[in-house]
Amino acid sequence: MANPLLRVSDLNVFYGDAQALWDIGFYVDEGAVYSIIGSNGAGKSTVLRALSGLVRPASGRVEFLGSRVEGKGADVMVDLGISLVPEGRGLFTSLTVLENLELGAFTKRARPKRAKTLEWVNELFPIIEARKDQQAGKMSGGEQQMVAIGRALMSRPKLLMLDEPSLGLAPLIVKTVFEIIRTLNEQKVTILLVEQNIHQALKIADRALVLKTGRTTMTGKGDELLADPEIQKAYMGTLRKGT
Amino acid sequence: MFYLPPIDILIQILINGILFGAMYGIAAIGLSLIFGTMQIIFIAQGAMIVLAAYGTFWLFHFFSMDPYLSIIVIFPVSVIFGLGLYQVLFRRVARAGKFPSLLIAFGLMVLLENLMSVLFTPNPRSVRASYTAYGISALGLKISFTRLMAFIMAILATTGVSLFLKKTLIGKAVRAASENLESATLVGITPHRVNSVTFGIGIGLAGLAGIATATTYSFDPYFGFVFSLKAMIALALGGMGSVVGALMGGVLLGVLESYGSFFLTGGWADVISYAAFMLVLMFRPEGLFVRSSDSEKP
Repeated sequence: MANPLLRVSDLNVFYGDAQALWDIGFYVDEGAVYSIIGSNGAGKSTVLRALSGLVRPASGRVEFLGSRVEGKGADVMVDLGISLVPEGRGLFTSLTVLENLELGAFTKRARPKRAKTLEWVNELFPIIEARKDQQAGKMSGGEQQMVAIGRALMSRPKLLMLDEPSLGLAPLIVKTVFEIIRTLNEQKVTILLVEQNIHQALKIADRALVLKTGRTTMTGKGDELLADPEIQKAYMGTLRKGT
Repeated sequence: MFYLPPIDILIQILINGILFGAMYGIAAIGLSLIFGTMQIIFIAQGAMIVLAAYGTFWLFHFFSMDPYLSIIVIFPVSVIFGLGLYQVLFRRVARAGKFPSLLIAFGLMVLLENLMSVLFTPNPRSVRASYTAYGISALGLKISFTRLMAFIMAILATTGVSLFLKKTLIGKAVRAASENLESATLVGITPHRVNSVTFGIGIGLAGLAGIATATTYSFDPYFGFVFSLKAMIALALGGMGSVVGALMGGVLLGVLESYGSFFLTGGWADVISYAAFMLVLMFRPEGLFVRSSDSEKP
């Protein structure tokens, strides 16, 4: 069996004395979309924060491209190829859109390819190019999300992690965001997605993991989990089935 | 009885205040940069300025080096000193939060003051070049040459720092890290790197302010603390995170003090500037020269 791009095993994370993640383990194959779902406070974001290097795991292994990377800082992780679009987008709002993108290619690895990557990002998001000199904070929520994804792509990630990219966006924009994720995946970008929009997140995912209060309750293929009666009952209810 | 002096005197005071205040401005820009990335008030900035003033003084004293020529020594040495200072004193504690860094800055200030006092004696010093007392007369006004030079240095420094922050990638990284440190590390900006850059520039500016101080004032080892306070007031007036705002804040403070000490007394001038400091913090904490939309944080 070929080695997966990312393999996480027995990951434990604490915030102070409180344990936020318990023995989390999963793997992401190259070219796949992997979704982590669960309700508010289940620890989904914490997984991404630990993998991006913002939070140092207490124990466990993170193997990326075959080498151990756990405990490295966020500035190192992005150079290795793991890029996070944080919850709430985390744009530099006082900087222009173009400056945000330029800084996206700050790493040694990405800097020489900056002009070429920018062309690619502009192609993906024509709206970005049209408004490149605008202050990022003055754009609409959906546009900001695109700039945030574009900025992460500027680092030439091998693994793109998205934390709640649909949060706070109008339904029509949410659809666009998921279309973008699909397009990126078609262009061979491996994606690790955290979402509360469970229906969409499972539909798009090759595999997925269900988190509940910091522990894994289920893993499996996206469509299997989507059809699972327990998941339907626990997370989607009857009203939200169609979303 | 209130006495209103003729207009040319009022203008003369205004000009003196502007020239005077530009120096506070240079110091405030340094404070603003360091505050932006490390979130601490670098209270030792004034002591650094005095140290640079001593540097200027000794270069003049021993090598007869013209104070303005000594920029080519003082400025690069200050920048390197700033970079080293961060690596040696602050790098280790930067992760532990602001409080240890603030204490170290305070300790550094006291250490430098006492060290300078022992090494250089507490006697006031000043650089007396041939042009120190020279003034330019125009339109019935008299402008001190050394203060005019200080003002020009302030304008050039402000322009230089602004261009650095706007045009260079590392300058953009400093702005990004000042706004959102977590996002900055996510794109690969190492906090230590931007911190040491801001320290390098901040102390470099202290070097320039030191030259300006040595040529315009007489100074002693303990002169710096008040300078730090004044820079802090200038920063509060101008608004954190704005380079031009910091300079304007310094100029405004200089004008306030200048009129304050003319109409009242020197002591009252300080009362007025500290009162202005508190009033601005109470009613317009984002600063007077920052458009409110620019200071918005998400």
